[in-house]
Amino acid sequence: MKNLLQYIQGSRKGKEAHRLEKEAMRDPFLSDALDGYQTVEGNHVESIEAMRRRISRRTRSQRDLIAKWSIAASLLICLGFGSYFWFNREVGLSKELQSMVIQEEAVTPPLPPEPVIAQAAAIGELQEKTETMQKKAPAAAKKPEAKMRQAAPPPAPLAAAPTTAEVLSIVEDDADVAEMIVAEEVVAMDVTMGHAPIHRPEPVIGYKAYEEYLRKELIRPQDSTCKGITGTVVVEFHIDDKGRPVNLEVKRSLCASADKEALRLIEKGPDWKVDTARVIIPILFAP
Amino acid sequence: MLFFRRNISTCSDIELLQLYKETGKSDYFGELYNRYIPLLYGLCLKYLQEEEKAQDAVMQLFEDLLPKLSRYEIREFRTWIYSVAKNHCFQLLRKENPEIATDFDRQFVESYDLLHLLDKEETSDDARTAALKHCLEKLPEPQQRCILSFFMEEMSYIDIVEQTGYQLKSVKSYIQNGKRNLKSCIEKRMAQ
Repeated sequence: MKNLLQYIQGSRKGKEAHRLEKEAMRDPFLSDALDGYQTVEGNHVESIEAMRRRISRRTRSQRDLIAKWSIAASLLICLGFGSYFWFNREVGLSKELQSMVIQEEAVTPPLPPEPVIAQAAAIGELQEKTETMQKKAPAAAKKPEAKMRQAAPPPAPLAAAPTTAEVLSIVEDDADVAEMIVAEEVVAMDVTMGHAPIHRPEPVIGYKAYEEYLRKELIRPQDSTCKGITGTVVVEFHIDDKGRPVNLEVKRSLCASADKEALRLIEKGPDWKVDTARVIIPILFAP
Repeated sequence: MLFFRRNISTCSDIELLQLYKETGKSDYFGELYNRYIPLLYGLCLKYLQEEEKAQDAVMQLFEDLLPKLSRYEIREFRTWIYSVAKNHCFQLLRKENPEIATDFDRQFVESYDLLHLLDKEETSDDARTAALKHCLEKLPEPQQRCILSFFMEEMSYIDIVEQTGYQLKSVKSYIQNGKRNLKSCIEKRMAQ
């Protein structure tokens, strides 16, 4: 075929040309083609290239489209996985925060040593996760991470309070999580008063089972605006004297029907042990 | 498959046909058809005699074949596309002129034996070579000259045109007629 193109383009002289012409004597297809090029004048090579381009464009567009779609699809999958892990991390964070805030709020006698250890460990863990945020931490809280982990020997109640404040303020710098920390005054108050957390309100069935309930009973919104939405709704509430959640408030909204579903889950959900502290529950609409 | 498929330009005709049948992706057939465009365009030029008509015919044939290609059992794409393309051209010609004759090239079958004989390397048959020599001398001058130049001196048509001053058309027909005359002459002699 290359010879043919050379023949069409060239002077058609010499042995190469002769060879092709002789070959054509045994090959009707080639012979017809040569006859055509010999009888009609024109820039045939250019015409051939133009037709080849048209065919390629005609057929390749389909292939490119498929390629483009598959790239888009794989990006979407990557994004999906990425956000799944990101949200998981966020929820983990929220859970820790939830216990922090609740503990801060409690207005009961000075803390026994054990919770402080637990808290310090939790903070250490949290700090690991929020290393990037740490850069923004206020000057007041300069405790290095290492020290936090060493906090194994129970620190004094007063020392524990600023530590908590530090974690909270670190997190406050993160725009995404900031909204849910409504306890700015509470933290300030606790710091000045030197109160340390002691306990968090608990579902009667325990947190593990409660989380299981949230996960299993969640009905994903199906309306056009909220269908397929992912993220976290944060709900805050009090517990009444019968152990039922009251004064529910959406602290972080995701989407109208997702918010509604989050409220429904808690409202219709398991009882709580009677407590005066506010409860903050993040509800994850996983990807 | 999409990201890791082999370069389609290295596939054989039959492989491309198979891939097109299996996947339905038109770029496989596009690649295959593109390989034959130099032959197909020349063929269409020969029968339609106009660049524009020939180009339209080549492109139209592609569009015609694309949807129904998978239905054909094709053993050899080259011979298949040749007959399909020639029919396509004849149909176009018949549309313009219904009385046109449509059998053009009988000469190929006829001249095949002769070609063997005229090949220098294959002239081992003494009787036949002698007959060839005798018949060549009996050919009319222009035919003899063209045949000798083409087969013995390995000149191209254009070379012969330049050397003899004949028209290209004439050179081709001298060779054509010369071959036919040679053939019947040799057959006569061998029968004696």
